Amino acid sequence: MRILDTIATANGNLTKNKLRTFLTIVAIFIGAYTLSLTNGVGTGFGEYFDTQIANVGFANSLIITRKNESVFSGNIQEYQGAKKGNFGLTVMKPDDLTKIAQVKNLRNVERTRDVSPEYITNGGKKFELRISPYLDGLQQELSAGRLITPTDKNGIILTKPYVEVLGFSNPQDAIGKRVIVTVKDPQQKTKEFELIVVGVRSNALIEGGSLQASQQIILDMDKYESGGVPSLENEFLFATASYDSNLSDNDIASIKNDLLKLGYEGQTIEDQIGTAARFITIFQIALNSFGAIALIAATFGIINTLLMAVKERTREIGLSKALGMRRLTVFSLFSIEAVLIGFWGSLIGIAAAIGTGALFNNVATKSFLKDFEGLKMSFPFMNNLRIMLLIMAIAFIAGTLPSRRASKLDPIEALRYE
Amino acid sequence: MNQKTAQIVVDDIKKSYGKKQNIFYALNGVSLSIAKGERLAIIGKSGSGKSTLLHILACLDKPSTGSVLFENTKTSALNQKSLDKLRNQKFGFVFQQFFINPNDSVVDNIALPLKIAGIKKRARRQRAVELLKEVDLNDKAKSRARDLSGGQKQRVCIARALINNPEIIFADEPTGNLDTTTGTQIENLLFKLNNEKNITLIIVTHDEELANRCDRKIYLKDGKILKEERNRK
Repeated sequence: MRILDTIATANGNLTKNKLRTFLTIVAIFIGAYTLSLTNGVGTGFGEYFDTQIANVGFANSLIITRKNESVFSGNIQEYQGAKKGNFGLTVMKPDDLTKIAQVKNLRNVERTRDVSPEYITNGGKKFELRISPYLDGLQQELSAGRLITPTDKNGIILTKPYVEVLGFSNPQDAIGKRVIVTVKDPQQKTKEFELIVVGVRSNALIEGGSLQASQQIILDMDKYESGGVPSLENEFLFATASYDSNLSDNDIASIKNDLLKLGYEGQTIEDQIGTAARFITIFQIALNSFGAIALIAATFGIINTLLMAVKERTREIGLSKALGMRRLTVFSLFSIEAVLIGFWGSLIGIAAAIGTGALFNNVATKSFLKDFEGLKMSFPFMNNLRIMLLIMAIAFIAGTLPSRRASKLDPIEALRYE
Repeated sequence: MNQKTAQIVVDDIKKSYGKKQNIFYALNGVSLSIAKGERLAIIGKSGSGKSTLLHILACLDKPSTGSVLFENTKTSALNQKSLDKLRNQKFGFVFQQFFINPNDSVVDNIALPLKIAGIKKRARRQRAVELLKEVDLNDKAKSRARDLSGGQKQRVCIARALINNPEIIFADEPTGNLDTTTGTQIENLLFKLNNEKNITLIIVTHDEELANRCDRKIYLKDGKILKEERNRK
């Protein structure tokens, strides 16, 4: 029998008991739908993180802190004379930078400056803010304007929500405008700093909603905030350093190791994102196992359906064998039928998942994912193909038992079967 | 009869079921020779072994001992693939219960042996339509098989048996499920084909009238040939 005839006949056999076939396909559908949907979420997050890392373009840098027992570990630390700052992090002093600079392969070791301004305003309402220094060479996606250059003494990069609340009609409108950021000194005296908007950032997960300003103006703010007290001014929580982009993963690991020996912890951008990505992975594994359980249940559905079909078609099989149909062809007819159940179930399941994903993306990007531009469910073709092939393979394996039974039928017995 | 012109030669075949004290012989030493173009009737009560003999002649079953020669080839020497091919290309089958696939069209039912043989859809449909004329069912090509009457169904079966231009047609009680008039029509059709195409007819029946229209009658009882009669033309 020709292979195309075999496939066509197997497909035709699917319609011999429509309701039963339909119900079996529904079982496969549920498994395929769940798998495809969870992969859509996982892939969407993955793609988002990748573009975020690409956006940051700052991958060759480490954020360094003093090594700490986590505040959540429950171990109470003995006092060692070191002061604790925000987030339970140990405060660093300038001589820490000297020590860090000794680590092999590390360059441009610098402290970060943290200021906690009171508010930002455009002359009208006042709004809270977080602000950090713009680090030279940091690449990011902008909606309007440009990045800060070293010649900008008082530049600021806003985010889209700030453009809106500060009363600018659109990102382009904000460029070149003046905004005021105020800082308090230790005596609670307020000073206004004038900044010029040079760019508006596309929304990004990394750096959160923090605004970025020229290093010079941040330095000025920091000095004012610490009231000229050197002990305060010379304290900081984070240091940054960069390394060569051609270093291997092993080299980076040994940098981190060297830092640990000195009592510091270094994290790459990937490390920071990795923590978030791990949660997504765990979430995905959990959902995928639901899909897998649904598929296992569906497998028994296929076996059951085909065993019933073998019973129903006993005489038909007997006739075909009497007329010279080969055992292998009989086997193929039933196993192709199983694979087709897998094919239709997964096709409909994946199509439904893509539909659901499109609907979700449509709603979500306008509401709760509004601030995460580019974060959406994603269904690349290869992923769908892989899910389909997996399900068809499972269906084939499920089909082997009934197919074998059919192929072994004795034509005389089968023709006598009532 | 001269063995050289014989199409099928059966030599002392036995078919047994069970073992030792429970052994039961469905066929117990049957020898027989069938000539090309002959019409042979195998007659016997149920349990006489007539169906078993037909199955062995048609290579659907194998004898426990003894040999069957088809066109001078020992069928026991053929592998399963060759046997399947032999049945598919040289034999035609007509059964009492028709065995047609009720949901398929008449044409698809008739074309089934060619589909199994791997003939392309167009060619096999064309051949099936030709055969519809021969069995006088021209207007039923598109009908579903289940919508046909008993006589029409059996004619579909005969068309199916003819589609591969067989050497032999094996008919197991071909008129058993039909009324007398329809039965006679089917008989006439079978004998006409035998005449025109020199197709050997091997008919299992318990209908004496049908048996009398054949060249030769073999009476089976308890797995043995009881008597053999040759009908005068």
